[in-house]
Amino acid sequence: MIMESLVIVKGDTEVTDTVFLQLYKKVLPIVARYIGRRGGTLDEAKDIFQDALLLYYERVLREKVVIQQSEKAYIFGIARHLWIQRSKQRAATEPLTEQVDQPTSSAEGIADQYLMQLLTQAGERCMHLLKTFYYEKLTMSTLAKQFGFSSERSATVQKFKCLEKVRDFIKTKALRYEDFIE
Amino acid sequence: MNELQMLEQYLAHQLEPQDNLLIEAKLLVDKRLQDKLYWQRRSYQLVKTYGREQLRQQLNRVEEELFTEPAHKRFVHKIKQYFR
Repeated sequence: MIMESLVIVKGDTEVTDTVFLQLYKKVLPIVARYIGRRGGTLDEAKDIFQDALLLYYERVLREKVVIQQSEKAYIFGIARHLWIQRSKQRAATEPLTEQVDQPTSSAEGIADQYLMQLLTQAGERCMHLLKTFYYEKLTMSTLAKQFGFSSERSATVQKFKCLEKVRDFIKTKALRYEDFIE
Repeated sequence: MNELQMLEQYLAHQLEPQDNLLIEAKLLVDKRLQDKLYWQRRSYQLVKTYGREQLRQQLNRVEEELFTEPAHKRFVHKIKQYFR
């Protein structure tokens, strides 16, 4: 196997635009070629590639795991898988509709969209803090530095305060909303 | 350990067996605690959705830059050739 240098994220930090830009330049060509040859459009290739990067981020970058394959092969593998899935879906539903996006039909899903809007307006800083910990999975000490807390301990306290705030906020809002639409 | 923290560890399967048992017993009888658990779980879901949305915004930004900046013109040209 050819050892390739990884566009890797060093240490406990956010993944920057530059890292993603490098990944686009490095891996998009083979994904685009693959999809182009199979009759896909550029927009479809961009879509698939974005989903593949998202999955790569969630499975590898933020987890800081070491993968056995090259980064390029790994992301291409995800993209190919997504493309095959999409083609199958389309084959199955083509007589009915071209629509690819399946809107969430559950009341919870719809409410989530609504809640998110409210939350980003009402508690941007808390959401940002929670995201940094629970989604980006940065450590408490990095989080403390980034948000200007004096210690991990006070960052932890703040994190739980934010969680509580969000919990209570969505409870009141969602109950009202779900009563309304059901 | 406060309740939020306890429920967080419960959801993440990080509690010691005896604490886990204790929470499960409480949840059986305590409607208020069930309610808290439910909303806490939904909070995590929302944070995840929020995180993904932010990431998608970032990726859109990067993609936009790549496809519009003159510096990447040759690259884009190459990509477009696959779709003829």
